[in-house]
Amino acid sequence: MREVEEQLRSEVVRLFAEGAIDLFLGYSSSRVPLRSAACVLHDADGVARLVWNRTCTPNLAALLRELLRSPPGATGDAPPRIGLLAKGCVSRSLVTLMKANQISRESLLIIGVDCPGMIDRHKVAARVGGEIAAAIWSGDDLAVRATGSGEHILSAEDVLLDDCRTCAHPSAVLSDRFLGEPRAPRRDALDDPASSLTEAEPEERWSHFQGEVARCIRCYACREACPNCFCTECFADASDPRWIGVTTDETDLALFHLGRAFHQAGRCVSCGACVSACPLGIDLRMLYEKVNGDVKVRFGTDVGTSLDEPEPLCRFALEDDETFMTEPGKGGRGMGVR
Amino acid sequence: MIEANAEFEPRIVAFLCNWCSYAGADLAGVSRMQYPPNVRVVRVPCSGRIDPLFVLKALQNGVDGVLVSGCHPGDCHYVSGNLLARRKFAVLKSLLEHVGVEPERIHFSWVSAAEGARFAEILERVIGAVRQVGPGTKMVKSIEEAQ
Amino acid sequence: MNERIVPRDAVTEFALRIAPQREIVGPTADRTGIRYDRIEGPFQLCLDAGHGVASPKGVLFPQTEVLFRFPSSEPNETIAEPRERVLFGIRPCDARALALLDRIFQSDGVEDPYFSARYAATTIVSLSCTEPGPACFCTSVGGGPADPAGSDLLLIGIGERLLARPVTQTGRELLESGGDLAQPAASEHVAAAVEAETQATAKIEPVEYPTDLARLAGIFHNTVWDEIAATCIGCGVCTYVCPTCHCFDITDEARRGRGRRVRSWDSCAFPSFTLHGSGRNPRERQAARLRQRILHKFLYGPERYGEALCVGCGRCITGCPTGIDLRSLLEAVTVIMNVEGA
Repeated sequence: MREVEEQLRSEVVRLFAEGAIDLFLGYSSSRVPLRSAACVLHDADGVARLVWNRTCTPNLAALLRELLRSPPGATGDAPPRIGLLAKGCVSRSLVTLMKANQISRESLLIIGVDCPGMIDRHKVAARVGGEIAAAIWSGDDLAVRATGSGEHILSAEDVLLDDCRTCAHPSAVLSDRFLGEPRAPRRDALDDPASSLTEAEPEERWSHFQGEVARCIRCYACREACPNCFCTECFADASDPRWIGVTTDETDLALFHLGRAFHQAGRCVSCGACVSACPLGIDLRMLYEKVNGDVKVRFGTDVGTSLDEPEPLCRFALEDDETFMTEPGKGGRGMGVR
Repeated sequence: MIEANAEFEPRIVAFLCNWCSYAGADLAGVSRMQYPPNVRVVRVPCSGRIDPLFVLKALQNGVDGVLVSGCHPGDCHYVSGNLLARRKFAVLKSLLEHVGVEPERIHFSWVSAAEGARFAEILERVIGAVRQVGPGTKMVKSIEEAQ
Repeated sequence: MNERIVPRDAVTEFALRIAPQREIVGPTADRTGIRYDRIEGPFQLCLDAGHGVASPKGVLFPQTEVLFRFPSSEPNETIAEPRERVLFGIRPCDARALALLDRIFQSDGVEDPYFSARYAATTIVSLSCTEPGPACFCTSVGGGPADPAGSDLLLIGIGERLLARPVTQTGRELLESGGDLAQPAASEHVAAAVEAETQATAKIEPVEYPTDLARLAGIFHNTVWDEIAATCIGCGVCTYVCPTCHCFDITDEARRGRGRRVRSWDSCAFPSFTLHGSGRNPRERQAARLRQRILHKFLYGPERYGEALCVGCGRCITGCPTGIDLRSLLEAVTVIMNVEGA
């Protein structure tokens, strides 16, 4: 990653010098250990701040909407041409956003990279049982000093984001330049990490779901960190009709997360940004994996890998399965396909 | 469970499309067919109009079961609204089942304007299924008792 | 002073003994570190894992609070008598923040009866920090790792012991009830506490923040706000984890004529916070919303209350999904203010 980081810096200097981009969107170092910040560069001056390491968790595609809408320091009407660093999931988000007509290919200069997988700060916190006071990398090993519990040695593999562990496309699927060597899609990647839960009894699934949503503080970090949540007005914010109350009532929380999950069907690229963004470490991948697994099994969609394939819920096939439907004599029970 | 709920009269919300299923329900009525009175009908232009939030919101407001019904494939007044709806419902029903909401509460069907008898039969079927799982508890928001 | 010494391993026993009839709320282990919860027995208190992602403000200012239900036979809403409570083991920054909230909730001669009643019924036993977190900057905003402000009783960690220092009369009485668990402190304990405080203070990186209010007001229209907000995604993490943010919304929830009036947290980071009924939004862009948050803390706060509405706990920094660092923002704003502020 060091090498790619160096290449990235010189590439960005070159792009600014050539006038190929107005802005560059990447990651910079943070003063907080084991974190990186999203960063916007307007010229090559700040290029030394750019980093590429295993803490670059935010999905930069989520920042494009606001940047394209109201670019900082923009004077003219023309949208800026934005260069951005795209790991595998970010590139798939870009594909998804282009298909949804949210961004145009022409406004982007995509620098693709291969991603070795990002670490999950909540997993690290759970491992060390305290606040991370300092962290030092040595290869893939991580020495963490935690407040109150001293030094811990962790391996990056042990604290990977679950979505990274099961990522099938770690290299950017769409790019103008690629730094380093792209990796072929991982065929061995697990299809459905949430599958252990599908085996569970309904009451167990319900209590797991409730346990996660009960932690929610309605800060909407999951939504705002998600490139797919591009609605001008979220149903959760709408006041006419008021879909959900603004309280932390468990059903209001469940309704928000179920509604959001449904909107992820055929769109979620499993970047894990929502899990990393949540201050309380809520992990609702069980929902996103489910809806995406369903569109994959039912409608054959592999999210974010092809610009030509329409969104699965925006089309239909006459022969789509309807065994889940209620008939006078039968049906209306389980889904059969789990 | 079935015995325990013998007294239980489920409340069902049915979202029916204007062109087929609503007319089907109407036909069942004017033909004086018997079906249980547990259903409250909401007429919508097309089954494609049904936002999954309608279903979630209905559950939150305390209904025990939801039925969404539209035109048979090929009969949609808007050509393909029902077929798009079919995809949405497949995903929605599966998602709700996944988090532990009883699938017996969520129903989708096709009923044409000529199928009054079919509408009555489907409703019987829906009410029977909901009766089996009892009153809705998950997702129901209580605003009256102490929090 | 009437300082006492409490053995660290007897701290739960001490907490239960000094507050036998009261509810004790303190830090308990959570997957993200700690969360504030009811303490009912041993092994629950978790005093070594920082101050938590979410602040203890939710204990006194719940995120969702039913004000009253309707229809009601009462002509006016009745404020329930709050439980007597001990907030045990919160950090000095949070104790200070609660004192700030108390000022805010009774400013202009109008008291918020809900918060005030709870605050008045709460005794605060705080614990000094020996290992400040990675984003702490309390020392720059008037606090410190052993700041007594807002506490009734302050516990200062000195190795295997805690030096208990009463701050108020309530704290003194509380400490008296500690019995043999709270032995009189010797002068070397007091010296050790001073040393612990000095050491902790040295670990906290100072932050320069704008204090010249006139000049700060002068850069309201500067482009610096656009620059610092470039990576702000408009979620409400910073405001919801903040121990001093206190904006709320009031909504009615009704079904068939029966319902409740609910107060719930709101956030200036959300576009809907300032959205007018007409559709106009005076804070249209994220930069304007982030500016509001910073100016509320560092300009309007000092103007109205004479002090910044920030206690330097760093939660907004560690919680930000895109890694925005308030310290860096404040430094950037200060630089611009010194150059351009009128």
